[in-house]
Amino acid sequence: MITLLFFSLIGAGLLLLLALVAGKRSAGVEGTARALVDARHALRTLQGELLPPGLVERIFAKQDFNFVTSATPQDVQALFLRERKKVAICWVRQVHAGVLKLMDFHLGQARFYAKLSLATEMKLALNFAALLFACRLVQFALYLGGPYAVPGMVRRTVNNAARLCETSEQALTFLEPFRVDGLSNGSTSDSGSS
Amino acid sequence: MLVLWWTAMFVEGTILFRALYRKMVLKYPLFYMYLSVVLAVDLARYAVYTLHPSAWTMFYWCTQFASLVMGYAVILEILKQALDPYRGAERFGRYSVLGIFAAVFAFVAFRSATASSWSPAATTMELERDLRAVQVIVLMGILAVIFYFRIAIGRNLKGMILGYGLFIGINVVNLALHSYFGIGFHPVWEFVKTYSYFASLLVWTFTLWSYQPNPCSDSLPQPRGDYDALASGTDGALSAIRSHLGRAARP
Repeated sequence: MITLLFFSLIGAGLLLLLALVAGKRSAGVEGTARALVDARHALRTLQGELLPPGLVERIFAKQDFNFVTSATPQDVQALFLRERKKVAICWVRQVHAGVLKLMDFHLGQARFYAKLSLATEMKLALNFAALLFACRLVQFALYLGGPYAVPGMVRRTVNNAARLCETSEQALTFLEPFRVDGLSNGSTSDSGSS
Repeated sequence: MLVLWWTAMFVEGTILFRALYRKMVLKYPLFYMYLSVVLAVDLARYAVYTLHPSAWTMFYWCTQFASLVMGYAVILEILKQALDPYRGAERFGRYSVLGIFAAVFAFVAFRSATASSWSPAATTMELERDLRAVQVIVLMGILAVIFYFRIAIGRNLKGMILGYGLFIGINVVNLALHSYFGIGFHPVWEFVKTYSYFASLLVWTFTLWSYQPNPCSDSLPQPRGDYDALASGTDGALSAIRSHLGRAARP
């Protein structure tokens, strides 16, 4: 029975993978201008949308909450908390999406290197998985407790945001492995900002 | 059943004719070598079945192993077509496949050394099941690498993967069920085996009708810089984001 189960499982596993292959969208020609524009867009998302200090500070600013609690009735306070929670969760989702894009780019580049290190790739894969999991954990915490549930969250976030953005910007320069001068000089506005 | 047999041979011949006509044999030599062997085996089997029915069973299993071994050529073709342009992914895939083979052979060696009553396969059918299972695991490994590195695949390669994967995936389960239920399952096994192969032929006919290679081409822009810089860059970015999230969530 165990043998039958084993072979049935691997057979079913392959059929599941085949279903994913069948559903895999046939991409256009890789390395086209579209891919380059996507690359630039993802880089800009990481640098500009992922962790801008002003945005993070604003999302978790307790001054807003203090003002609302001191000057408005209960139902307005509840509405404020609900809306702020939505914004905070949306922010974590963006971080999650940014990490996914970073992963896409790393893999998109790493696959070309003959000197690719299996150990490094496995370590990075684990790190990506851990980070994506952490994002989900924070999202879950925000979902359960609201934007002000974790006492140190706001202060530490704001303190670290500026420093982090600088670090990220330096660290992510590798995401420009090839120049897109043609796009920069052309009509596409994607390449101008980064 | 004979009608299906003839139809299958006709479809195999059609796929091969199209491949010769469109010069696709030069693009996918291993795959078409497999299909040629299968067609030759089918023709020989038909001759034996009609002229020397007494030799049928022996001849069937001998030729079955010939086509089974040739099936590894399809796996190699898939590996080559999917990963060759990506030297890093190809290296990853090569080591994964070698790792799978090493693990399978280590398992077989361990079982044969430790279990006195254990043999790799009690019957030829079980042997085929085990060898097909190895193909299934290797193909799953290749597909995992394709998905992990986000490798785009064209219509032809997709067809090869779907057609052959469908055939071996269904047959591993089919052979396992036959081994478990015994001779009573034989009609079902025969039916599933025939129709799953026929389904694979149809997939190959549609997807390999004309040459449609992978989106990746030689003109693909190659990244500049070295791998270490890329890996440390990614690692740095990850550490920065992780530190940010960690500090943000800490009470």
